[in-house]
Amino acid sequence: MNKPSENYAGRLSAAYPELGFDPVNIEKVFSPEYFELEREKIFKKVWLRVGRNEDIPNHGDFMVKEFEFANTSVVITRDQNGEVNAFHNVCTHRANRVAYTETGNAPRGFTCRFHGWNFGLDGKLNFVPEAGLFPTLDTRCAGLPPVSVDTWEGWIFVNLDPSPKETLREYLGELADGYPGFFDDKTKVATLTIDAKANWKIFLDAFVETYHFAFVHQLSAAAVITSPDNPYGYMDAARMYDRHRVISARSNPNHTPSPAEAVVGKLGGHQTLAPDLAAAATRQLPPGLNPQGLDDWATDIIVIFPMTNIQPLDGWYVTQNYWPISHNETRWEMTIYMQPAQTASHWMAQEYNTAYIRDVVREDLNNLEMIQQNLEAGILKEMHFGDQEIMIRHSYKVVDDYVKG
Amino acid sequence: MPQLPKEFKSLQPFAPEWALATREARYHKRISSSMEEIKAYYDAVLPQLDAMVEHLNRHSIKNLAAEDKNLLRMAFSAIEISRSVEVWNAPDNVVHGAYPAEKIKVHTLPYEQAL
Ligand code: FES
Ligand SMILES: [Fe+2]
Repeated sequence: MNKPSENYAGRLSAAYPELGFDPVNIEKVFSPEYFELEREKIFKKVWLRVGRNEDIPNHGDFMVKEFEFANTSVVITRDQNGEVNAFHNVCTHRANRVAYTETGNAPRGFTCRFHGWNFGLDGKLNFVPEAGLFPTLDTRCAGLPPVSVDTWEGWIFVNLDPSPKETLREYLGELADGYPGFFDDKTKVATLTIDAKANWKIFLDAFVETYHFAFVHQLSAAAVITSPDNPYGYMDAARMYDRHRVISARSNPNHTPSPAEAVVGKLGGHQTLAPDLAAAATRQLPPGLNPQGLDDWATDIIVIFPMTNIQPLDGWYVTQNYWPISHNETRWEMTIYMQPAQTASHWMAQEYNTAYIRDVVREDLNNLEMIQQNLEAGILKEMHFGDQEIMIRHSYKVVDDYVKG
Repeated sequence: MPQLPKEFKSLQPFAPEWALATREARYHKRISSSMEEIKAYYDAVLPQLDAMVEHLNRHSIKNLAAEDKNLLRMAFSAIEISRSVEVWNAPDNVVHGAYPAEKIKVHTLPYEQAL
């Protein structure tokens, strides 16, 4: 395997001197005032991942996303031409909602419950009961208020800025060509959600380094990441872009699966956290994945600014969004995508990962509300981000640049 | 009482308790069982897990017979309790203050719908 260099201190950071090495001041960044700025300058201005094409595959399919940080609810639809559309969930008559369930199929569009105005899947106002009552109404101008929407590699993104400064592709920048087709042939296995009392950045920080595995996941996932050669699970190939960031995590090449894990691995196509390194070595990965060619590659942690985390593993992947609700509350949404099941053994692998990951993230989540409480007490003025925590250091820098920009 | 395929009749005594249809039910069964009960099931099911999965793989997952569904549920329960025996030596995660699993909502499981 590629042994960690002895030069631990600057292993990842040396290439990014502009990020600095000093402790980072945190007196402002978790405050309600700072969150106000994040809302206005980040969350209401950038592209945000809301789902996949497969979530709304058919004509009339829709999903509703609650954006507490913007006090709005957004409807995303698939229209008769197969196009994806997005609107604010607000009737233009007198501001009632028009879609009332999280997901559904509405081939004839949305009929407001208040007075029956009907809007098409493309947002057009199609029908007004007793239209003669509104002599000055121009139906062409009274469609559902549009939200910018676009797709990339099957992912649906929306942007609450009525005229986004960049297209989604421009926004994704260095990531845009890295993963052609990788996400297409997998299927959603499970989504895990919680609303917890912690700032969204505290959530994100907890899922972008493997320095904590030897401690937090001592009894669980450490076994697949840490090894005698790499006892602290050092990561490599740090890529700090203008606003997004990616890093490669290594696995323990000598991991001995537990008896149950061994059955699932052998029969379920090795879709567990422990890759079959020999088989993985023969795999053609898209150019964005494992660019350093680590022979013990476990996963790349891709953070799409501000708060989407996508983790491709060998043949499957996990995504997370850390939706801010307020300055001290976050909706955490993790989804596991795997090969569609052809056999019962694939179902076993799906069941194994869902139950296993649930029990592992319980170890992560345990800390977050405690950290939030400590931050609110205001005792600490700064935090320390080590070389292996460059993803976190970069995140605070980019957020602050946006907030001050 | 949930019936298993005859090849697996040695597991039949465990079926009423462990052939459970949802992950919530299996998790709840895990944390409300004693280690003796968990260990008894683990010791009985693990040596047969390979054979159980291979048996199920011979059938289309689109229309499993009732007894094969029960067998799959037994296999899922084996996975659910495996860490109790293999890692924690306790029914639930022993990591101090591990976040309560009940607070995590788990949605959308294609195979749970199929079952
Ligand atoms: S508010 Fe929607 S029809 Fe009146
Ligand atoms: Fe973790």
